[in-house]
Amino acid sequence: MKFRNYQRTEATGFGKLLENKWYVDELYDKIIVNPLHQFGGFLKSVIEKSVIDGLVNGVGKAVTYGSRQLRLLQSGQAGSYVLLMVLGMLLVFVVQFFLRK
Amino acid sequence: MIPVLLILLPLLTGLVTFFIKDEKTARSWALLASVATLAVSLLGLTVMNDDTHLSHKAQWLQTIGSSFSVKVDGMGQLLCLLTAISFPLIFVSTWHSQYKKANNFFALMLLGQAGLMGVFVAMDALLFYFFWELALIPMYFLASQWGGERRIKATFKFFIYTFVGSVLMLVGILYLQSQTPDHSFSLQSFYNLGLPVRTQSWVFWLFFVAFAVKMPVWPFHTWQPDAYEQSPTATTMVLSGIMVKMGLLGVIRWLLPVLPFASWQNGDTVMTMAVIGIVYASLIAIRSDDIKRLIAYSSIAHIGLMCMALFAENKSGMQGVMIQMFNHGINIIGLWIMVEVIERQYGTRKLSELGGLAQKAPVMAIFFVIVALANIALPLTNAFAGEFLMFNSLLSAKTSYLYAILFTVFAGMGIILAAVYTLNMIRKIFFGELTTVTANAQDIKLNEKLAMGVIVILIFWFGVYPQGLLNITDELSQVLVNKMDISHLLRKQ
Repeated sequence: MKFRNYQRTEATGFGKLLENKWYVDELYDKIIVNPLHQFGGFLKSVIEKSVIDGLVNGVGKAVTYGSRQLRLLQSGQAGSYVLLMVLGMLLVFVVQFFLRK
Repeated sequence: MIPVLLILLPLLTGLVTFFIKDEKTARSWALLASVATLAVSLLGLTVMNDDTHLSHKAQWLQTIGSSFSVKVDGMGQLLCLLTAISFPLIFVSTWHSQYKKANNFFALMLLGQAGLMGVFVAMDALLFYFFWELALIPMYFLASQWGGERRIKATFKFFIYTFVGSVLMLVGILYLQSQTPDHSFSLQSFYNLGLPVRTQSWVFWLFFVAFAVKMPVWPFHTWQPDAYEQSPTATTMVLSGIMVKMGLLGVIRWLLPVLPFASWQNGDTVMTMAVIGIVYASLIAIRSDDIKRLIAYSSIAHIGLMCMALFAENKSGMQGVMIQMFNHGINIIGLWIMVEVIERQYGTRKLSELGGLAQKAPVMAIFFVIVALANIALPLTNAFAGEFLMFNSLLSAKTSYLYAILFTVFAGMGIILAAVYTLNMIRKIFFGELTTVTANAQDIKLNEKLAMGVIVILIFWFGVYPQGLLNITDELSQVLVNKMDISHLLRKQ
């Protein structure tokens, strides 16, 4: 028995392929695990947080913003109220005109 | 008699709890009350399981065509039993959790239970809506007063989201009532409606959005991970174990048989949404570091599968969903109990900060692994039978053959992904090196062992012998499938 038999040497060629189990694990990692992980991360941080949740929160924000703007209509000036009233009446007439069957 | 008691017992004991100032007494009182409710539920399942005991009708708002009509049918039996089992388990397992103003906490929990029971047994649309809201309100207060740091924002979103849904449903209910010949809210009149196809398709969405938010189905789900994360865990157990079943029950009892044309018409759309949700939520669960969020997303995936099976519109799907509602509730409460223990003991829910717990807490590891495997629906665990029936139903779904195959394949991916994130979670919590957080860990206490023991017994019992659950739901699912069958309706016209 020679000492060399017990020495750990790096296999080469086909031996290396076998030693690494045909690289099946690495292949799985490359083509399935990592892409799925990345895709999951993308869904979590972009789609979920910005798109879907952003849409939901956006509805809330739009309502708050809209009500803040509408509040300005309550100016206390009778003139502007009369103007709005006339405009509203006109709108009703227009709508009625077009909706008549 | 039985359904009235199921509602009244938690309602009255809950109201009394508000006035019990001593924390220990309030706790014991709530546990006693919930055990009494469980006894009533078991009584209804075994000794007094005939129609005279299981249904009750009394006058209520007669002028507008509503009545206090309650009945425990097959699905009601399972869901009432689930609700009745859950509350004692929740109270026992969180025995050592501290709450400020504990009496209010337990009172609201019991009121929530009353609301849930009401939803499950109501046979009148207005009554159903009434209990639907009654269940929501205590949950709102529970989450917003005893929750985590971001609780106000999360519960506000939860409340507005579900409330928008339920108001749409109210519009739908009022419309349907106006269409009934006798102007009645009763379920039977709704079943006999037979609306024209075009009307059905828009009324469908009024109801479906309400139920989709509650279940939740993608993309109506974003309230859910936040609400689960921020609520106190005892409340999360109610939300995820029982409350999401309200949405499924709504679809089964109030949507599919009432609007069969529209349900068939929109089935593909709904199933597509649900299957996207399954894959989507599972992938996010894989990347979640917070255990609570992981379980929340896992729950979205499971509910997505149930929603798909419902719209497959056949008996095996219907029955699979009914028993799965029960089993999913048991399993997820088991998971939450473990999360509660972990959070209370180690002060963190982050997977990255945990590790090696199996060395320090072997009993906990055993329980956790069993519940987690049930979460993946391994054979011999309770979730297997239901999941098998649901996949069976997907393959024979009333869509084109290609769709059925595609749906089954993608939903099947959900199982694989579930195994990935669940086993990953087990590995990260229980194996590997001990961390600074887990270095001085202790095993679970007697009360937690007791609650988990009951859950594990149920897991194996219904895993080995699901026939009991199937027998309860057999008749009802056949009746419902007949009502949904539109070819039979076409022949009649």
